Amino acid sequence: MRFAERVERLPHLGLGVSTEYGAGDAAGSLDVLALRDAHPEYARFLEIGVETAKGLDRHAMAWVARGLPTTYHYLDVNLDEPEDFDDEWLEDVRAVAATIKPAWMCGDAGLWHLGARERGHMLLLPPVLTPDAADDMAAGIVRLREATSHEVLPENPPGQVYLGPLHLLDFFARVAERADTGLLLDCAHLAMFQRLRGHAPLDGFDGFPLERVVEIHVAGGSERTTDGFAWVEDDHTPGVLADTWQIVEHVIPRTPTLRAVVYECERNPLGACLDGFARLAALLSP
Amino acid sequence: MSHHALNRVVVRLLHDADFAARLAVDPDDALGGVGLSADERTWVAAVPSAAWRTDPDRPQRVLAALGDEYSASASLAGAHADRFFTSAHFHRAVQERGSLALVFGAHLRDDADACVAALAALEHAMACVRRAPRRPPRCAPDHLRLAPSARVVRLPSGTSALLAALRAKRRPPGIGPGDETLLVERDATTQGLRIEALEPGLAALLHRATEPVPRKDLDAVIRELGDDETEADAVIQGLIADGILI
Repeated sequence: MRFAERVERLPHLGLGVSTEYGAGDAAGSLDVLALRDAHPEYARFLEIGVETAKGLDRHAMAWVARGLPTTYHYLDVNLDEPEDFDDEWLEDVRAVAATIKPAWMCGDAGLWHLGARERGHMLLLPPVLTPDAADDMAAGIVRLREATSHEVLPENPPGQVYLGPLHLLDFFARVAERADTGLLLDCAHLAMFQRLRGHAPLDGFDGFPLERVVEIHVAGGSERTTDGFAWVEDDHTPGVLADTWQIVEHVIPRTPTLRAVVYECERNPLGACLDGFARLAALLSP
Repeated sequence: MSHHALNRVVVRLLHDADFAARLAVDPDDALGGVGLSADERTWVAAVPSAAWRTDPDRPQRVLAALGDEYSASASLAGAHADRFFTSAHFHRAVQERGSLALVFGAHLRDDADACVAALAALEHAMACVRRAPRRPPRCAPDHLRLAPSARVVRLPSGTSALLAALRAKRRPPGIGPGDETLLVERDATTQGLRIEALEPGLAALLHRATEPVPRKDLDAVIRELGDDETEADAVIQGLIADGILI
């Protein structure tokens, strides 16, 4: 079945939040269930970041115990490396998926670890932006989709260095076409790329298949300079950069298959995040 | 597949400031031996050198994660541990998709201090056992081998006592002279690790089974040690039941 048909079966999740192992235990972090109780319209689902070696923390388990919707955000697979899809990891992935019953799987399509899978590295580098790398990425997405029977939505990763001749959006357009998959567009990560390459926020969308975007991410970032080199730290603060908002406001009305939006603010107190949630909710309202 | 090679160069640049400095001065020299195309060399050389320094704490974070598994040897190694990211071990492991945890052990074993080297060898064996597959492939019929979740290491005598003392924050004893042979084993249920001293006979038997070996050869080892056929069978059945031989 082609993506255009498969996407029709994906649920409309709406606006949600993300978490990963231990994030909810940090001082001043977002209590996702408290958010759900106080503002259910801002926490319609939880995107759970999963490193199979760590499993699910008590916050994720409490959400799942209430039968609330989830998505599975992988944190431990280099999609373009066939060696990464070992049987034990896939078995663990299926076990987690069976527990949280995600609407789909998604996550940054980049280099999560150096060498073989290890705990504690959490590297996350973007792919080299070449056609070959896109094709290897596509093969990994198909492999994971077939192994788990879940849609796998690759996400454009953050970075301070992007190598290769392709525009990030052209790279993921090729990945989507080769894997016949939907996409997760991280608007904050895209804004970082556009700045580093000297592009305007909306450059490169002409060849990008917005009809394949199923989910978008929105997050704050902090502008930094290192010895004259300007970059944006992807620190998920509540302060979303103007470039990112420009991308979000461009994308949302043009994505007929959009099913979910995550405001990534998991390490911030609720009160600091409400303005961002409200702005996104307004953008998503019919 | 050279995009993989290029990405691995990026990893090395993010962790080793000396390597990044060499790239800035002489890219051809710094990237010698890496299978990159001319375009790829141009792309990486064109990156502003400050871009490799945007997260100066990154190497220390990775080192801290590695130190979790090498707490004893790394604590004694001091500056030698800190030099890991400039070592050939690190660069080769990244470029060849090796395990950082395992080559960190190899780096610590290079330490001039015999106590560090011995502890690193023991903690390296523990790291190997920790990473053993949960369901290793079986041997051919009538063959046995040491399970990947068990490892036999021969170390200076007193190494296991030194590790125990450092963990308990007691005054560390010295090591040697002479050797001790240890079995490092992962519990199939709890996944916890055990270290036990081996008698010479059992050490010889398990050493013989490091690679798959016909069962009759292991029987022969036991009989050479003076036990009869019935006793040999009981020993081997016991090791199979314990998951040490598979």
